[in-house]
Parts: sequence; structure tokens; C-alpha cells
Amino acid sequence: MNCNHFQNLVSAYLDGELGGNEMRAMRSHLNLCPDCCAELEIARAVKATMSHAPLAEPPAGFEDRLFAHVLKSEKRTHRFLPITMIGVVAVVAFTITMATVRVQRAQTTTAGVDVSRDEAYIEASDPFSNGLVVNTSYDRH
Amino acid sequence: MIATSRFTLVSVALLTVGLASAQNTFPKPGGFSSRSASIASLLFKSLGGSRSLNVEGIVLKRNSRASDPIQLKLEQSSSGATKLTVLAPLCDQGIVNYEDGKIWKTYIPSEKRLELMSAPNRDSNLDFRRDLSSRNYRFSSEPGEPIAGRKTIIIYANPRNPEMPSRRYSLDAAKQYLLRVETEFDGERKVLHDTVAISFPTSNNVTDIEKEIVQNVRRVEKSPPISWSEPKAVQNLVGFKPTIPANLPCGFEVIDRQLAGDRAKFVAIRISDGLANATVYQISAKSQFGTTESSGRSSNNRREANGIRFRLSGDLPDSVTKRILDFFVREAIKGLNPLPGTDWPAFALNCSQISDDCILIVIQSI
Repeated sequence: MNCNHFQNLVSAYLDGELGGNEMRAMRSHLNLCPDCCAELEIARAVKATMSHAPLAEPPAGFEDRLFAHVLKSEKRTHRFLPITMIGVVAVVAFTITMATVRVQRAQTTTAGVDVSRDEAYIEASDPFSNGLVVNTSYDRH
Repeated sequence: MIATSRFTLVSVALLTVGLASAQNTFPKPGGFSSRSASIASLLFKSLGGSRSLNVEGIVLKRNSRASDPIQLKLEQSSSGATKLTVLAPLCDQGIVNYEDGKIWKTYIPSEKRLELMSAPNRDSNLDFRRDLSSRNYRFSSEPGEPIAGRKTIIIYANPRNPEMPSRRYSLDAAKQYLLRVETEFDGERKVLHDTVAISFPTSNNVTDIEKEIVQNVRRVEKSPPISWSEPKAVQNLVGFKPTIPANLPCGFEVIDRQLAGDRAKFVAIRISDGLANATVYQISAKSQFGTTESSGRSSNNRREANGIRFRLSGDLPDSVTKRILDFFVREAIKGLNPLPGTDWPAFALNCSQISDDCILIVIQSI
């Protein structure tokens, strides 16, 4: 599992749609990669925000005005040019920003798997666990 | 054998005392009750004796690292060897754990990987924790409903601190083996450990997983956490001075201070109120803990102060988690000056240089 693969599956991961192997690969990758941890938190926050956002009713006549605007715009296609350009610039700026953030985050180390292993180990040393603890956290290198 | 029989006799006698005076309601708050202390002793003794039983069963375990319970096949021999095989969830199915009191082995079949660590010590701090639990909880007992076809005794642990959940331990009436652990807080009941099926055969031969697994397995040895006593000794390894408050809220006390981690060294302060345990992890702010907790959990269990990231791991109510972390953060910022021109007990959460003449300081008030 690499970061690109992770990002392709992050939405399905949050929705619980992945199978066992993919789910485990995602968790393992999360424990090793601070960038994807951050991506996951962002995706989770967006999902939570969107799921709680109220549904807005469009104002009266919105549909008519929208279609009229689209039909009018189709006749003057050159008007799309600036909008397209703005879109391209926005995408490029976003990509550069994310790449910068990634470079900065790459300087940090993540103790994810080690902490999980320690949690399991210390739970296993609790007499109230009756020793019924399995360490399901491991790193792949 | 003689010791085991004596233990059983003592247990039965204590249970009889507990049952004779058991009531439907928990004991009222008050002074130290000798009956409550006897029941606490019974509970801890039963835990100590559970390793000397032959056991086979299917159990459900819930931990703070996962939202869903994990289903395990349990095989235990009276010699102290225990083998656990994950049956569910599907993503962990087939992982096997073996422990014989000396070594702790985990085999991950999909990776052909065998992780080895020295076995965790379940008997350390038992007396201290029993005394601590007697201070923080009132114990009572009564007969319980059958679990997996076995007659049970229930031990109730009612916290003296209303912020902590009450606990219920169901023990096998004949074997004093723990069959179910439940907590209840704010009307919400949580089953931490449950038994689906169980038997106590007269003999049970639990074989080491290394004798069963296929060839070409990668053996990976991991270091167990190491206890330390002097903060300065670990300061060079972790990059900061570990924070240990002089006292903790809700009846918690520090039971151990350890150093762990392979990739990034971190400090683990083990705390307990006798029954509930937690660890306050501390790592340099240059490192991260990762997202190892269950999905949906809030970031209520994380703080950052004075160059240290804190993370509390343990099944505690949010209010207790917050209070404990507050104690650690206060200790970490002790001696720091307040912000200029203010009386705020505020501290720098994070500080980053945005440009040559601009610094972003994120502050938090506690």
C-alpha cells in the first residue's frame, strides 16, 4: 500500500466498504504514514461536516434562471475561458500547497505501530485481561 | 496442589461470607468496610489463580484500540501456556498469540511474520492494586445468572468517585475464573469481556505455535518497555524531560514509568485506580502518535504542551481523561511565565515560523 493507493480508497475506508485485506492494509499504512493520517482526518472532518449540513431549499425560480443562464452561456463559449483558467490555477495552487505540506510532514516520525503494540502488551500484563490479548498491530518492513 | 486447594477453600469461605450479607443494592458510601475488602481480596486472588487452570473456550474481548469486539478461541494449560486464535473480525482472522509466562509470540499468517517479546508480567503490582481498589471502590457480591452454562458469582465494584464507571465482574462459581467484565457509566453498559463457550478439561496440551507454523517465517524480536526511575536518564533518549505530576485526580496513582518504542522512543506513564488502568504516552512534539485509536473517537485524549505531545490510552470517561491530562499539562508548563500583559494561565501549544518576520503561536488556556 502506498499513499496514492491509500488516497484512492480513503472514502471507501471511511464508509466501511473495504474488504478485510484492504482494511488491514489501510490500517497498517495509517500507522506508518503521518501524511495519510492527516488526509484521513481531513476526509473524516469533511464527511462529518457534510453529513450534518442542512439541506437548503433553492429560492423560487432558481431552476428556470439556472437553465436560462446555461443556455445563454453555451452561445458565448468564450466566457468559459476565464472560469476554466481560474479552475486550473486553483488546482495547481492546491497541488503545490499539499506538496509543501507533505515535505514538511515527512520530517516527523510516527510511533503508531509501536504505541499500538505497547497498548496491547500493557493490556496483556493487566491481571484483569486474563491474558486474553492479541497483538494485531505490526509493521511491514 | 495443596496451595491450590487451600486457595479454593479460602475463596469459597470468602464467597460464603460475601453471599450471606449480599444485598440487592450496592453498599452505601462510608468508611472502609472489611467485607468490601474481603471481596476485593477474593477478586484479586481469583485472578492470580486463573493461570493454573486448563481452559478451552470462545471469548469476546473489547479494548480501547478497536470499536468492535474481537472474538478469540482460547486454549490454556495448567502449566501456564495460553494460545489465542483470532476468529473475528475478518481482517485479523488467523492471527495467533502464544504466551507461556516467559515469551509472548504473535504469528501473522498473511505476512508469514512471527513477533517475539518477553512475556508480560501479570502478577506485578497486584497487592498495591488491591489496596488501591479498596480505597477507590466499594465491593459487594451476589449470585449471578449463568454464563456459557456455568454458575456465576458477581462482584460489584462501585466507585467512590462519581466520575468513574461502576464495574461488574462475573466469576465462575466453581473455578473462580473470570467469565465477564462489564462497566456502566451514565446509563451506558459496556461489556469488555464475555464468554461464549467454556470448559475446564482435566488436561490440555497447548503447543507452542512455532512448532506448528509453516517454514520461511520471518522472526522479528521486539523489545518490551523498560521501567525507569530517574527522568534525567531518559531525557537524552526522548528529547524532553518526562512529566510526572505529584498527584492525580479521581483516585489514580502512577504505578510504573516506562520507556518504549522502536522508531521513535516515547515515555509511557502507567496509571491505575486499582481496577481501571490507563497509560499517558509522552513523545517529542517533533514526532507523532499516528491514528491508532478506534475510529470515531474524539481527539479529547491528546494534548500538546511545552514541546511534549501527550496521549492518554485507556477506557476512561471523557471527563476523567480530560482531568488527568490537565494534571500532566499543568505539570509540563509549571515554571513557564504567563503571556505578556495577561494573567492567563496559557501556554504555547504550538509555535511555527511562517516567514522571516512572522511567527504563528497557537495558545490554549486550561
